[in-house]
Amino acid sequence: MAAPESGDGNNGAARMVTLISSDNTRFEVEAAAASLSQTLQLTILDGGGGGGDGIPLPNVDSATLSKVLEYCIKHAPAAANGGAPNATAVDRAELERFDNEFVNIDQSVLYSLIMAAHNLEIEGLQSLVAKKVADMIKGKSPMEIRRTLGFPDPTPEEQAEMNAHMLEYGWAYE
Amino acid sequence: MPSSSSRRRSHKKRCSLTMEARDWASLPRDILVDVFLKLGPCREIMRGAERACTAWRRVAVDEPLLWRRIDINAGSSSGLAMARAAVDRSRGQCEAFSGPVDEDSLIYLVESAPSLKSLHLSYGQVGSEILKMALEKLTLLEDLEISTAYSSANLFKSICQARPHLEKLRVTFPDDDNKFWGSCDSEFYDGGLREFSTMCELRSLELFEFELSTEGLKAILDNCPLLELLHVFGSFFDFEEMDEELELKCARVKNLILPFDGDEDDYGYYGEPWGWGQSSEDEFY
Repeated sequence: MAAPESGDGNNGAARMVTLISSDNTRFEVEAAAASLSQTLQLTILDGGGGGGDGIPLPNVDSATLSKVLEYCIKHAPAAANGGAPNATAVDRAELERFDNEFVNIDQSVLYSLIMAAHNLEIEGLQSLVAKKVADMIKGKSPMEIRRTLGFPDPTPEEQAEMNAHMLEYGWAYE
Repeated sequence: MPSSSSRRRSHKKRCSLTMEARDWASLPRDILVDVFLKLGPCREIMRGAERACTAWRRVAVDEPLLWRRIDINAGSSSGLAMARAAVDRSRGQCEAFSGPVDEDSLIYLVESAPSLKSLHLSYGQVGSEILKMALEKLTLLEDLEISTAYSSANLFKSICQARPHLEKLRVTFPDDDNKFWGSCDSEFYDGGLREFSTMCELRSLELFEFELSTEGLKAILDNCPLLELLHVFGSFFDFEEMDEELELKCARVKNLILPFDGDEDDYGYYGEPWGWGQSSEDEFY
């Protein structure tokens, strides 16, 4: 699990790195887990993030980073096996159960998570949250989507653009 | 767990941040593309998402990536209109099309989407000449599926001549109600299967609501050396006993299902599948 700063993380076999959230919270995590982020991978390979240094993440707050790392820690072992070609069905089912549970969250948390996953380029997480958002709007009318996601009311210009769109594509819609 | 001196913010500040952060309408474009790609059939975007706000609309209309795989499962005039709009938006990048066509829209499709690898046609009537002309333009096509509202004596001839390198072919013939449209010659029932010519890369062939003759079966087996899967559902027509040679040819196909003749004369009769191998669980896009 993510832990508060401990100065150095080299007390065991696994190499540790420190990530610093936008609100200055330090998270110590195994390098293998943090490396699920394409954005961080090179820095970590170059030996960054160890010791007292830490890698600053100015776009990710601590609550979101904690959630992101929960995902990375869970998925790191499978990723280390190269997508786990020899993973058992039980392992895969367990990861799937974890994923389903993981995105069963408040919309605002989901929003922060989708931005962070994108920012950090964590492929599996990007895909997972995109699927969750897609499921939230699937089968819904435009009005229901607006309500579900709390879109602001359109400005007159936006309304005019939508009206023109409906004129252009109206025939396709019923 | 995280330790921070500034962990607790005032409630007011948290709220305003949350509201700001939750502006789903202005999600970055590539995130929105990820989400749209997971929506499935095109109507989810066309009838829902793209009409929710202007930012979403622009992404839907301007991003060809979203329309590389077009899947329109509506078989009406609005389905045709949606298909056309989707093809336009793909700007020549469409690789897989599954949806309704008529003759005009098929011509438009192949001219607008020359890189198609997979083509699944439903709805409407397309004559074998138009079909042949259209298929000739799709040089990259690997996978063809046709659910035809009527049958033509030249169906297989057109397909084989236009695209002899197809890997996968699936044809659903008209059901009972439509069977007698247009023609009454005997080849009508099997799309002119005897005219089946060399399909040197065909690995998978599936025929539904089909009347298979011994001769037709021979034509398939003789012309498709790489065939791994042959599924025919429907009934036998003009079927003679299989001789040893034909049985040997059948045995070369790993996954074979043929209709059971039985005593039924009904065209609509579906017997127990008869054959070697296991039934396929292939998902067809």
